[in-house]
Amino acid sequence: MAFSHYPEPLARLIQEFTRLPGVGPKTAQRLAFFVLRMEERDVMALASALADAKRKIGRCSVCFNLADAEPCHICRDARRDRGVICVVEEANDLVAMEKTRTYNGLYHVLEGALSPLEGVGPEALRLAGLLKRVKEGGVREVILATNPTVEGEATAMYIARLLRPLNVKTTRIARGVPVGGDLEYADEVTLARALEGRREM
Amino acid sequence: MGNYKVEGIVLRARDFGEADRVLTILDRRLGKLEAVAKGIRRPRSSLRGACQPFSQCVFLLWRGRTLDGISQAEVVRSHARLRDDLLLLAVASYIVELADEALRERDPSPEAYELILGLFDWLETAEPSLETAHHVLRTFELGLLELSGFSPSLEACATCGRPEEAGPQAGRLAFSASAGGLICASCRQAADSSGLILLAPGTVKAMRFLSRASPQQARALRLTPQAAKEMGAALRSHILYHFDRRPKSLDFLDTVLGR
Ligand SMILES: [Zn+2]
Ligand SMILES: [Zn+2]
Repeated sequence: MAFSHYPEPLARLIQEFTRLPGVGPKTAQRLAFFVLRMEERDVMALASALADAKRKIGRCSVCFNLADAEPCHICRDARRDRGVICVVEEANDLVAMEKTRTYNGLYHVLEGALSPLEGVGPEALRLAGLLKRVKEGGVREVILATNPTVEGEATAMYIARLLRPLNVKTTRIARGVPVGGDLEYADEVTLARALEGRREM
Repeated sequence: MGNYKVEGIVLRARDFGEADRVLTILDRRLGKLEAVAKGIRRPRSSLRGACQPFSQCVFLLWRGRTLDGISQAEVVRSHARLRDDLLLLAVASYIVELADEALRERDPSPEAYELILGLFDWLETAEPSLETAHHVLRTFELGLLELSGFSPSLEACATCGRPEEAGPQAGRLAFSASAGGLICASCRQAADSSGLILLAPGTVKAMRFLSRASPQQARALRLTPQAAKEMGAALRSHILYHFDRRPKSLDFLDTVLGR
């Protein structure tokens, strides 16, 4: 036991903190000491928030978004356009999309991306659910908003191929130079893509 | 001391920490090496495009305590098409995975570098088709096996060393992954015959040729569908038998190839 020179409950807390991403032993110790100095009711609030989040948050059975209700608040929302589905890799990509406040359709969260090199194949993604939604009808357009990485592009190409026989309009989000970026520092590939995706002004 | 320059092919890129990525680069002179691209996952990073898998780049590296880092990168050939087509992506992924597995770190292999670069150029310039994919895959497998010392025995019986004829009047030859290549009629009787793959003499001759051919020479060879198919079966069993683990990219490759 690495933290055995501490009293057992403290050692255990430190050990548990090291499970978090990006938290090494040093940070874990700092966090644990901070918890000891906190008010008891704040510690209880933190503990119950952790337990609640884990217990109450699940995946929406329609779009696989993280949700505390079934279906999720987006799938339930009658004001949203049910004819458009935006496909994203992870739930946090959906949040990023929502923050733009320009999209009013539904989503589909894949919970990952195809990665030939890591052995992540189509069966690991939520593709059956997407196909089912499109086959049920009423969907005019599927927007592929996977990341512009090798994995994201492969996923988009794969889904486009799956959807082809279903006769639904399938689009890919444009890729280009980031806002606040500098043309001089943009790589050749990004610049070429930006040029391809140019629009008339 | 200080910085040094490498010209290499990015074999793979894996996320590291919050914003970094570790690249496996195959350099012409130094062989396979790893280097960290700090901050590359931030949108403003100037390294982003250069550090994509399959691209050929010039990198300026700084020496780190455990891992060297990339300070500058310039794309020589981006091979963007290999990332923009499912079939080409599947083939290129298999190529880099097997190369990464077979080559040792910092062990120079200019032959492997030329082989992979030549095959990437071939994939990019040919019309993407299943025939081309199989032709490139077989050329790669035979070339890589040859230069990494895992080559199957194609000139003589793998068990007793008796030369194996592949002339026009020769009958079909038997290939055994567990024996390590061709196996003659008398050794075949002693051995377990369950995993035997029969090859036409023409297939064996094409395999011998592709083992030592440059990508340019390999491309000029007319590979019959039968030879491609037999060779594919023999090499698949040979690779699965002699490598420590099943290549992760194999299932995706088979899906795309429609197997
Ligand atoms: Zn939902
Ligand atoms: Zn023999």
